[in-house]
Amino acid sequence: MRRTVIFARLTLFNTLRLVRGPFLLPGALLTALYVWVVSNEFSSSVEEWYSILSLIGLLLGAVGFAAVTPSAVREARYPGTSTTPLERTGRTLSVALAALPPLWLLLGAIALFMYTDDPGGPVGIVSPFALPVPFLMVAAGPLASLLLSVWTRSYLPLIIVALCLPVYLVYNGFLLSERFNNAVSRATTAAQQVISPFQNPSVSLAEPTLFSLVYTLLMTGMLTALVVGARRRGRVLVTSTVTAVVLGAGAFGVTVQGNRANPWDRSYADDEVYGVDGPAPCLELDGLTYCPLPGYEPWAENWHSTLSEVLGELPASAREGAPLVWQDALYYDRSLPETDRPVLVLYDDLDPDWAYWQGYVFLDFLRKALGMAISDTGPYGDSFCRSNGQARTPVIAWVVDTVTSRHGLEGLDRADSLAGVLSELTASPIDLEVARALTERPHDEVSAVVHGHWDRIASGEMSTPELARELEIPITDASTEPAPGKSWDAVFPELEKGVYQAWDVDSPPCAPSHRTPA
Amino acid sequence: MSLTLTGPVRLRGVTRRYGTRAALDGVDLDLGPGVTGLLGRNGAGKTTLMRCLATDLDPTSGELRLLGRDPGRTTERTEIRRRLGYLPQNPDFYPHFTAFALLDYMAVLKELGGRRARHDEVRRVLRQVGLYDRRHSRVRRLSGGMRQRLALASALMGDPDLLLLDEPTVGLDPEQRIRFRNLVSHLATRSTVVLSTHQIEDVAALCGHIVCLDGGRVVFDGAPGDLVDRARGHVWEGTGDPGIGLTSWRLPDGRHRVLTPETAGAPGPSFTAVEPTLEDAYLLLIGVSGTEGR
Repeated sequence: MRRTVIFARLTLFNTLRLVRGPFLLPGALLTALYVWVVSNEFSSSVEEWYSILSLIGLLLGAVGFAAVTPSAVREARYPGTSTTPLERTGRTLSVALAALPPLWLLLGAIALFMYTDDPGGPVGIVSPFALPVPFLMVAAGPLASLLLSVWTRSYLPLIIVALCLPVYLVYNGFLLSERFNNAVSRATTAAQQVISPFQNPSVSLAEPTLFSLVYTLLMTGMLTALVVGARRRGRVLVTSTVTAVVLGAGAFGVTVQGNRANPWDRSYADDEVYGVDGPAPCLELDGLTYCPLPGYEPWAENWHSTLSEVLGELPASAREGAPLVWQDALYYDRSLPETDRPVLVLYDDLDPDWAYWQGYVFLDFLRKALGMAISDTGPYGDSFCRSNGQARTPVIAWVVDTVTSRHGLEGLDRADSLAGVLSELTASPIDLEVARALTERPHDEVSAVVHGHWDRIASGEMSTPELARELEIPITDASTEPAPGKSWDAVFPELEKGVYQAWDVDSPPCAPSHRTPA
Repeated sequence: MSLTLTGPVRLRGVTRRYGTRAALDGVDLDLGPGVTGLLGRNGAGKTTLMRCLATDLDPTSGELRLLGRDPGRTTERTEIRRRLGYLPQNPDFYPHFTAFALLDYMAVLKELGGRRARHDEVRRVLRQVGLYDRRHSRVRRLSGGMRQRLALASALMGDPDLLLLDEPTVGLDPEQRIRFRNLVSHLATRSTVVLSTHQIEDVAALCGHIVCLDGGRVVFDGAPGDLVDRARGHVWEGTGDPGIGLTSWRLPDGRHRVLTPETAGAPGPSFTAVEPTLEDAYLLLIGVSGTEGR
């Protein structure tokens, strides 16, 4: 008990010295500044929240590394206080622990700030096993500093780490030389593998987060054992070395077992999310079915409000073939539902209010609603027949453009989005011209024609030249074959030349009169 | 071997080896309260003995008891360290700390109470060694003598029952040495102080007990007067050539002071026996023992 009190007093003493030192507070302030700068990019999902928290954990670990180095070098260079009741091991560990209270406090405050920044908190479920990991990553910094400083008895490790950061930033910004960038890339990959060697690093899954926690605890323990044994002899060296080897072997075993039980291509049922007992229920909203990940239910309302806008441009009958909206996770594969309906897959990193991705989501949604998905090419029906020359091609592009431009997409971005959608639709020259013209015509004029001819447009029976005639759109190139590059450049002169072309020209054409491929 | 735990420091057959070389070779000692002077030439084993007494070094063999406890046992070693003050031969303190912060840090390591009690103790020892006015100076800015006093202050913290001082007066000016002597003699009224030094004057002024080491062995263990008595009749002063092979030096008046071994008489007809000093006795001791030992 007495030694514990003394250890606590010494740790407090060291903490106060670190706080007054040159690294801890400035480093913490810089980290807080970084958080403030990126705070407007916080996503409202727990995966993003945790991802940023882990990054901050690494940053604070680096701050701890720097802050502890002078004390660690001091202990290594001047071991003359060896005849005090608290021995060297206690003194050394105290230096590492001294950095943790302020850093953990800061990390906790940042975590709380990010969590409460979005009213109601980020959506999704956080496994409690994942929560200690960023805090352990913070602890690894001071421990690594102690280990390296005690071994080298110098500031060299700090200098090397200080140099690594600009090298990494340069590597991310410029291609200096292929050899250099490859070396940095390999080092970065190796470091990432050491920090987190698991293949499904979702914050929600119970088992992988438990593996990750055990691995991090073992690695931290191994680091601590190495610190205790650094430059020691006799029994202390043997004990700490054996302990470090056992813990390291344990960490390796956990990694192997964790990746064997959770390979990258494994699918997870909803009940493998922490605290979830069975399949997450799907929600029915105005005839549309949404199946969010557990904890992401609040997003379904957003999806519905935006997808309703898409359907709102079309007659009510378009709703009948609407696909099931299924949310998958970015960091793991969610088991696919048993359904014969087409499925529109959304991911947990896609903010439902972000216009840029909506164009692609709306496009897929419409093509699936119109039966253009080739269901036997994959579980999600992500391959489509091509509808070049059919009126539904410019109409789909018009609907997407109408909704996305309503959400703030303007100017070059709008043209870019429209060209992208037409590219995905394998548009022909006449499709390009008509689509562009539709976006420039009064909305009600186009809408009336679309509603008036919807059955023929939806089935592919109405051709694009017919639609052009209906709306009296002048045509310069009436070809219905996939458009060559010059057609794109002619219809979209404001965009960079040669960027766009018709995709998937080899996919089967959609058969007129049917909602299935020919 | 059975031990009766009477004195604060007790050694029986203590040997410390570095490889094949024995720095301490079967040392038997009992040290009680008061100041014990530890004398010996360079390499005699003084610092090794001090480090063993300071629990910084384990004996290779033999039995050692400090303050009635066995330093070989972890829990007992901790108890010993709580009551131990040690000034090493080359104190290497953290250069970036201020004098106050350094002693405060040492006070924490020595388990000295709460913050207020600790700071009171730091101020007390800083005043004792005359460094209170320099308490905010960084260690690297202090002179060699000041650092030595700072190290002494560190050793004095917590009123240790066993105070080990290895070459404590190196770098001290005469005034500080007098101050140091007063301080140590005051402490010795209630503590066991072991003073390892080459400064015979300090030993003569402070020590009621002397231990001389040579080649890792104890060659004298007794009172200073006993050592001086052994030299009586072997210290001479006179004119002329004192002869080869004798320890001698020239005095300011041109005469020579000569130390002769027990088997030799006066170095010459012009030499007369004089009262030996402790230094004479020590030189004779290690000279004789050196001759006999080789």
